Amino acid sequence: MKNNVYLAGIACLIWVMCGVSCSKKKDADVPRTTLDLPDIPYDYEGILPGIGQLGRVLFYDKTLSVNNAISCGTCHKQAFAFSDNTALSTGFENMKTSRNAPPIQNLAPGIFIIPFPIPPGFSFNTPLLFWDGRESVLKTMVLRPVFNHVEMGARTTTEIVSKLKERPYYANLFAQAFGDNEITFDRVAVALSSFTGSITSNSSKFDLVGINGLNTLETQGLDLFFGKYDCGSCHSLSTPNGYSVSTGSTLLNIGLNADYSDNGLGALNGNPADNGKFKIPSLRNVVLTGPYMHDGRFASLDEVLEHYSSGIKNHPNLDDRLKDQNGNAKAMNIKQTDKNALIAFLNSLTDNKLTTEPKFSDPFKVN
Amino acid sequence: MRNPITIITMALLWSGMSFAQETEPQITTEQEVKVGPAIPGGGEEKKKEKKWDHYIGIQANLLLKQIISLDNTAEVNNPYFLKHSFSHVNMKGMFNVAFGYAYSRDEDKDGFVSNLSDLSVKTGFGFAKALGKKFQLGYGLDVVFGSKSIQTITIVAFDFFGGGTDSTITTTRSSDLSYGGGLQASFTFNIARNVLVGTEASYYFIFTDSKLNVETERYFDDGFSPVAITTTTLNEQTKRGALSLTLPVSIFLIFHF
Ligand code: HEC
Ligand code: HEC
Repeated sequence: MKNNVYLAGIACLIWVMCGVSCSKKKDADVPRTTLDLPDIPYDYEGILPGIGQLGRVLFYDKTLSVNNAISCGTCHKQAFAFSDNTALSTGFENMKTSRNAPPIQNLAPGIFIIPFPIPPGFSFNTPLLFWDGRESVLKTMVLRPVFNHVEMGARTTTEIVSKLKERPYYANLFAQAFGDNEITFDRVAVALSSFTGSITSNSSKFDLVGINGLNTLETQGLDLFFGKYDCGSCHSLSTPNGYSVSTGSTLLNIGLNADYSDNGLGALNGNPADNGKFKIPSLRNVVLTGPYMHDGRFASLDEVLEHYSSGIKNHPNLDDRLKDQNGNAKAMNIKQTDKNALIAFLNSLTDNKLTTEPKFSDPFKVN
Repeated sequence: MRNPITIITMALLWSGMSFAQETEPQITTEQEVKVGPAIPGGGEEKKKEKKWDHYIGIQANLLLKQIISLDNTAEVNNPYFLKHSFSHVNMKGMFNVAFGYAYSRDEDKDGFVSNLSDLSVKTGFGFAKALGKKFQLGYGLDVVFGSKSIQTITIVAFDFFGGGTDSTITTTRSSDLSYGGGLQASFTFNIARNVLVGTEASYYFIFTDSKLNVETERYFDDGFSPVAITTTTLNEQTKRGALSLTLPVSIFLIFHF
């Protein structure tokens, strides 16, 4: 009896200690920030250099958040193909986003150079943005995070504009981009969406050497990807967005759970037939973009393959391609050697130029 | 309430209190089978002079997660880590109280500091039904209260071309005060004598009153004129009401005495 009380007390203590995170030490002096830009703006694909440069500064400027704590680049990190290396990202109040931050690459329609013939039925349609595809216009989409109550927390456009006006460097940057130094919200949207749209990845090994240039293991992986396991029926490599247009549905359910806590498209439109449907992500740079899936549940590609191998759950909306003859969740039973080949192939989709390109890098230097 | 020590003390006091309520010696036999608080068995009554039945539950998900790696299926959004149910032996139902508190403080090298504290309390009345010898089903009505506050401080100092500095200190304070109530259901299983594991689900309607206050102080020194200070403040208040469903994914370790 007495022991039980003791046990309860001790468990409480352990519990509280687990729950309360320890605080880190504080650095006494405030670091100084400077802006480091090239004398002549870099060239950006499809847009004016001045606009690209302004977009780059805005992308990394924490001034866009209500408390100057967060920039786009805080969650969309260049080293990880502009995705975040945590399952959920942290916003301006240190609160977690509800989904995994996806990479930003090849989002502008029509700027991608396709290494092989255009498949029939392919069109340069605008990509679906966000995991549930709720936006498709980059210019309106790029400002959503600014006003998102978890991400950057800004309240009004006028507040953002007046904060930008206070920064000494913007008058000049707006003048270089638009001819005069007037700072308007529409111009912010233009510059930011042009910059994010110009983030192009087309220098992976797969892009550069083509199908015939891959090594034996990679080729074996490619064959498994398009053949035996038919990953290619959903994940396309020839479209900029990364999803296969021939199949029609770009948002679908892959049986991650029998019952999803985030219903994706279904939560957006209230239709139960769309529960658990999420956008097919691009596998370009996939080695860099972990953790994986809309909620970042899988830490590694091994875990992703394990899902397809034996983890697919029955769900009323499970895509037909992931069902067996009896209509049950399929187990692909991917052998270890096949896993190795698939991962070797996925590695060939990594574009190290994108992750190091100075024109996409953070121009703010903190010392 | 911002201090973890307070919580520990509170938690201990709580269990201490319940303990103090039954100081009379107990004459219990090993053979006796306990099924649940709602069945203050008539036969047991004469064996002992126990007047109150107590169930102290501790949410075990975090602890379990560190011991075994749980399948990442559903997120646990049950904020209560301590539950206490008690009933008088002559009473048909039982009182339920639950408590949860989270505090975190974060600082990074760029001068960003954030403080979060999140308190959740609920109380209610319910009944339990035995399903065989090992399982119990509980249900009841709860009144819930929550208070969450977050404070962040950011300091940005900018050196600009031609000399001079521009520094900005921004403080945000947001608070969510919520209250409401609704249905609660629980399911427990005896794993040993006086030790149970259980889970609970709830469906509450919750009103939330949110406030955000942002204060910005800007110190501007261009190297020629003296430092100029400007302060701006943003205040916002929003109220909303929503149904909130908590799925039975949290696991409670429950001690009965
Ligand atoms: C707090 C972290 C965070 C910040 C800051 C942030 N994002 Fe995001 N971003 C996300 C998350 C999470 C998603 C996915 C949200 C969803 O799908 O519901 C996302 C999605 C996107 C997408 C869609 C990509 C796609 O393929 O669907 C783009 C583009 C984007 N963000 C650009 C930006 C820009 C531009 C900014 C700065 C104004 C920004 N983000 C700031 C976390 C962040
Ligand atoms: C039926 C269509 C379909 C098939 C077949 C398919 N996938 Fe997917 N894949 C998806 C969808 C949809 C998602 C996103 C699901 C989510 O987040 O809820 C996804 C996610 C992924 C991710 C995570 C990407 C990221 O950035 O988070 C990887 C990696 C992946 N798939 C690889 C594969 C491989 C390898 C195969 C073949 C073994 C395969 N997929 C087969 C539709 C498919």
